[in-house]
Amino acid sequence: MDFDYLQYTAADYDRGSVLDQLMKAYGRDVWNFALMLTRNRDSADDIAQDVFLKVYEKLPEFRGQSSVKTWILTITRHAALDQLRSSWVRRVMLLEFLPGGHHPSAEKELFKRLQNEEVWLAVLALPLKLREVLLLTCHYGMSMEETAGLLGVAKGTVKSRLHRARAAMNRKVTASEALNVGGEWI
Amino acid sequence: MNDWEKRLSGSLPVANGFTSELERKVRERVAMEKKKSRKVWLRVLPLAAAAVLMVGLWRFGESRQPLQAEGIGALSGDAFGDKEFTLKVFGGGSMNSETLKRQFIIRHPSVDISMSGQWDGKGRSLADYRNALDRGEDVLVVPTAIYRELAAEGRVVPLEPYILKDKLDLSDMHAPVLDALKAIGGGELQGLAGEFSSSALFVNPELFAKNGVELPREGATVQEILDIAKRFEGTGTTGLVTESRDSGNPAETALRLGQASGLQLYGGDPMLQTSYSALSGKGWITLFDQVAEGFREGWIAPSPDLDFSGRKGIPMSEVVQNDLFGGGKAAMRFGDTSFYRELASTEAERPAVAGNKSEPVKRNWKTVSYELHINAVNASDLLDMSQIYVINAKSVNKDAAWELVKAAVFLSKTDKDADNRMDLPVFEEAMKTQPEERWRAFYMESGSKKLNENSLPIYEGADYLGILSTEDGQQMKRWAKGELSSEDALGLIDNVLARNLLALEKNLFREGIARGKD
Repeated sequence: MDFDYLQYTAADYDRGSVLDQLMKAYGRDVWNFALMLTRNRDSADDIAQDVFLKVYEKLPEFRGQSSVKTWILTITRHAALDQLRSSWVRRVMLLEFLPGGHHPSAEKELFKRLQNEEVWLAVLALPLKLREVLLLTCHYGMSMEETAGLLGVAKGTVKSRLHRARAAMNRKVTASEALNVGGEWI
Repeated sequence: MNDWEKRLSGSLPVANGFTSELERKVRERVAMEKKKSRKVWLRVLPLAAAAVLMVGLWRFGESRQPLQAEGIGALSGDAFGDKEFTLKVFGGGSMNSETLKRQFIIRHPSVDISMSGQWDGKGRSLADYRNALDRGEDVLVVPTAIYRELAAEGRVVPLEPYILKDKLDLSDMHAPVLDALKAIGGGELQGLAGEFSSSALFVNPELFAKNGVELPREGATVQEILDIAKRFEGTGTTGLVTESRDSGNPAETALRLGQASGLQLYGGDPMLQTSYSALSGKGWITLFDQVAEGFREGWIAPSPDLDFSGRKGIPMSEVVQNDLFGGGKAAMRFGDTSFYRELASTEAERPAVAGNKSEPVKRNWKTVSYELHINAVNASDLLDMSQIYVINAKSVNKDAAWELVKAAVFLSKTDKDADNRMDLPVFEEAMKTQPEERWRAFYMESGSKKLNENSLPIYEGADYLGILSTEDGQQMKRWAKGELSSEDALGLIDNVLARNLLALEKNLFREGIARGKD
């Protein structure tokens, strides 16, 4: 759905109706991005809510500074970073994500599914800074410029992080494939 | 591109975590954020809605079954259920406001309704309504002349797109009302009304039968009615009783009959400051001659004045009984919907007020339509909507405002308090519980009930044009007695009319309404 019209809307448009449309269009992207950043299903639920609440509040201020999708993913990233910085998350999430580690049941189910998708599991195991760059460019299809704008860093930084992320992924996927010769995840 | 990159560009291999439950939570939080002080209310919203519904069902009673079903259905699909806001309504009467609020809240429990500027004995000026629009009031309830002006200023919303969107069937609404609203709205329907006021001929069949006179036909002309009234001369029964009483000005009746029969009072348009008196010519003289003859010969007569005798008020039953028609002494009377209500209400058993109980009086009467030409001038005298619902073009809640307008209009189909009001519902079916022969004439079309550019309501027009006969009262009594010719009587009224038209134009200019030269 094209939301470019949002930058031209008058102040009295029906924000509730626009919010509904945005949730339909980007709800899944927001939740997935939050999940991949926090690696926690409950956090993704909370962040997705916070994001759309913020979107609703900020809709009148949106004037096409970026695409609507970039704008919403930026809000998602900020919300995720806030979540990760919170003390509760620090305490619970400081453990390095490892397959087979201790996770609540919802996460167990989630990671069980991901075990069959070693690529995604490998992404989840990347450090946050590399993970977000990789996701934004490879999964969300953003350009270097858009990614740089979203992350608030220079384009060169994005390039550098992306290079490192690719290298890490190549290593991990190769290792994973090697480990999976026997067909079982260890 | 590596294989893993291709896989990464695809979907995440997990089910969509952004469930409808999460969507619902977002909407709920939006509503809560918007009105934090009402968090408690929001939490108990489902219970509150159910409670309101239960109260509503109880209050509406058995006769409201279709409405109840609609309310329940609406609850499950409430378009505003995820929002919480206040809809602001300005103007109108207060009699049905609580019913309206109750009906609306059943359908949309998250929407609050704030009402202000309702009738409190003082008239509202155009400036009051303009200010209300500026303040962002969502719905305004306005009289016809204000509706015309606000529509011309483009400050209210055309309703036809909403009607089309909702596939709203208005075919059972009194067509002249819709036509008039469209004409007054500058060719666009920019407001809707649930009630209207019109004119009909009231007849007493018993007196007709007693005197061997045939009842007037449906759609009779004013001339035919005057001819029939003359046949009661010398019978002891007044043929036609006037609306003004004994101390009133007899010329008022002639002026009203002239307008109803299509004679023009003035020409041009006061809005364009091009008006001029048209109160002359053979048609007016002939009519004035005939009415004066009726007064002299007694087949036209006024009702006696009300005798207050130190009393602060008089019961409605006494007012009606004192009227020659209400008292069974006159065969015919022109009257509007308020006279219908007065007659009907005094026949019903009513509870005592402050210890005074009016005994119900049974009368023999019905109404007959007559050929009414409202396309001459002063259409509001003959077809009027005193409460037109319009939506502020600046409203931020237009969809909800439209729902309220619909509720208000369709309220006239079901409102039990309707018997207490002076106007009639625009939906004929709402009258089915009453004897049809008494109200049907108000819904019949005879003559021309279509307004044109010369008959549109004028802001404060009634203040200037509706009081033509209050001056020169003594001279007009001389006219009724045959001591002053119709030409001279018309000349005197013409002077007042010319002066009032000038004053009206000046006032319209002062109010920023006149669109012509200074």
